[in-house]
Amino acid sequence: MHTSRAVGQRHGTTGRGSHTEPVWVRYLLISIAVCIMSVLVIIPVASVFYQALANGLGTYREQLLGDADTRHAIWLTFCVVPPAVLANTVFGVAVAWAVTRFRFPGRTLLISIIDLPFAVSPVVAGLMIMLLFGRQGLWGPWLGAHGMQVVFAYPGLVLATTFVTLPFVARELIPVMEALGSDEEVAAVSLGANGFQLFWRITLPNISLGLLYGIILCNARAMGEFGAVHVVSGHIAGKTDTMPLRIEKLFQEYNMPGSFAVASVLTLLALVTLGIKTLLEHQNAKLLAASADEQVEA
Amino acid sequence: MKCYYHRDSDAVGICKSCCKGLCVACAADVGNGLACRNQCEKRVRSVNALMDRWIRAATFADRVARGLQQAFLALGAFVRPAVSLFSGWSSLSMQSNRRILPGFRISLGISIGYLCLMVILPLLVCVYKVTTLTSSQFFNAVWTERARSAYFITLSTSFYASVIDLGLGFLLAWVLVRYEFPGKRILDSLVDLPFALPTAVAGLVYSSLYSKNGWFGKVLVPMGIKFDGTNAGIVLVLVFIGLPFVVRTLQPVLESMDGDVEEAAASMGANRWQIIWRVLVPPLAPAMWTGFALTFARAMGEYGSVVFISSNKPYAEEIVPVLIVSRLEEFAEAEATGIAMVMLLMSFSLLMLINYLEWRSSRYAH
Repeated sequence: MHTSRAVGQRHGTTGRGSHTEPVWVRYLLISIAVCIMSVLVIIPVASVFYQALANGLGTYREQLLGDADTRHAIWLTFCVVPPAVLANTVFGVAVAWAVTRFRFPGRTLLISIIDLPFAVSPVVAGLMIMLLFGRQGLWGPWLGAHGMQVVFAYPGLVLATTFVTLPFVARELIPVMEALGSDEEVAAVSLGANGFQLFWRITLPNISLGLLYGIILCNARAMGEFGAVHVVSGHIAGKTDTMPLRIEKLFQEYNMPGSFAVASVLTLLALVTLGIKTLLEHQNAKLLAASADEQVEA
Repeated sequence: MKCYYHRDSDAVGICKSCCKGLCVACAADVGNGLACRNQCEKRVRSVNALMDRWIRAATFADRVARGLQQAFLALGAFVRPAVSLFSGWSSLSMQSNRRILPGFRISLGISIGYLCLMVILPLLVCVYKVTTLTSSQFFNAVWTERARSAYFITLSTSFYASVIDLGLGFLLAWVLVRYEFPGKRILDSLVDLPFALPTAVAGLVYSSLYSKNGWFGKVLVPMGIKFDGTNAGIVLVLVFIGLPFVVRTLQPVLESMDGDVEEAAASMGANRWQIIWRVLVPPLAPAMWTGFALTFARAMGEYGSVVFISSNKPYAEEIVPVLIVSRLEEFAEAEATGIAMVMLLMSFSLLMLINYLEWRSSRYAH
């Protein structure tokens, strides 16, 4: 199925030589599209780097690393994100395996529940964590009595980030594994592979590109999460401020160079994410084309 | 043939019941043939009447069944997400996988446990918190003047942003699928940027670009066009946030349509607008609806970017998420949860709508 689609696409692009539009309409539409993308995406991204570097590299480094609170925000972000991404990756692989390799009652329900965090506003996600662990929350008093703090502390930030980025790995993996099918895995099992060998030798190499992109996208979203974290963090500078929250605080203090310096780090991350995605797609297309050619020759 | 009863007269037909020949005097017309007058006539008439009644009953039953079937179809369209949730009993080949491939129990266990803990439990707590309010308290929390204006601003800005995104997204998808030009691949991957860029960065950069001293603001503000601290600004960032959704929903559908039908329409004398409205839009419509609903759902929950560009004044530029945050900062958790619940209901019904539209588009695709 995969290969036939790739072949179809290639035929599609080559066969589309003739257009019904006159040339000037074509150029007009292309230039309007480029204008839209410039105004909405390209110029804003360029301006982030321009504003961050406007006063020279020295000031940039000073803004980013000279301020103890900003330094702490960067460090905290790098501490909050890995547990969230790791948990969602384990979940994503497990749920993709269960949903694509087996049929069971309630399967579609499971798939729709994965999507629920997309429909929940990040602010509401933060509110839910407040209701569970906050001072007036369900388990808050018990946790407080045992000297544990979740809300306005590191665990709350991790929970909020995990909730908001929950669907990303699973969403990337499910279509990939559905398209791959289970033939190779069934063959491996019939040749005597155990579960561990099956996963490491057969499944993981096959899904690695999709998994990698899922993790990277999850990572980018986790680092940039604002709404949910905003609610549960309590904004204690130097303690519970992540990078996006630091941007807001610097913005409110009218420290534009500072907030743009932090923003440039996150923007760079987004650009790298997109770059890797394009690269992986390119790789994937090449693999597909190669296997399609093999099939044609065979 | 002669008549059975009057041997000298010619028969004009045969009795339906006893197959004897009948002359004009003995033949009785029973509507669908002849019968012996006063002999078989009564029986044939009663059988006919019986059959008529059965046929009428059967037609009626048929009509009722067809009506019911249509009613079920219509009902099924709406409750289909709920009904199909429990499908999966069929497909025996996949079920036998459970005996071949390992890890069914552990993967399903991890998935269900994780989802219950991370998604279901928080949602249930939300519902529980709302039930601690009395109905009048709940009503007072979610139907204040401030909350009403927040709902209105959220819904209207999300609506305008989705409509604009639909237009821009259609144009971008069209250009990216149909034309070749240098830099196309870069443009194509940049479409995903709003998805990967943190919302706080988007809010920051837009508010600075359109402020009095910003690159765009320098030109626009003297002309009286203000985005910084206005509802137009909210719409602007929502347009940015939602752009990838429309483009990415439309692109695969456009790719699957080739230009043949358009060329055929053009060769038969259709003009540009006729081609767009009669040939292009109908097959694209389901995908456009889906893209619109996705953008709308995303825009309704957006917080990070809006909080930067809007002035967040109550009654004027306050969206629902901002209202929830400010209620929380006043330690009014129950009221905040009530408002959140209204929002959750709105976005869940939108999700159902998306499901329905996707199902319909896949049904009519072939």
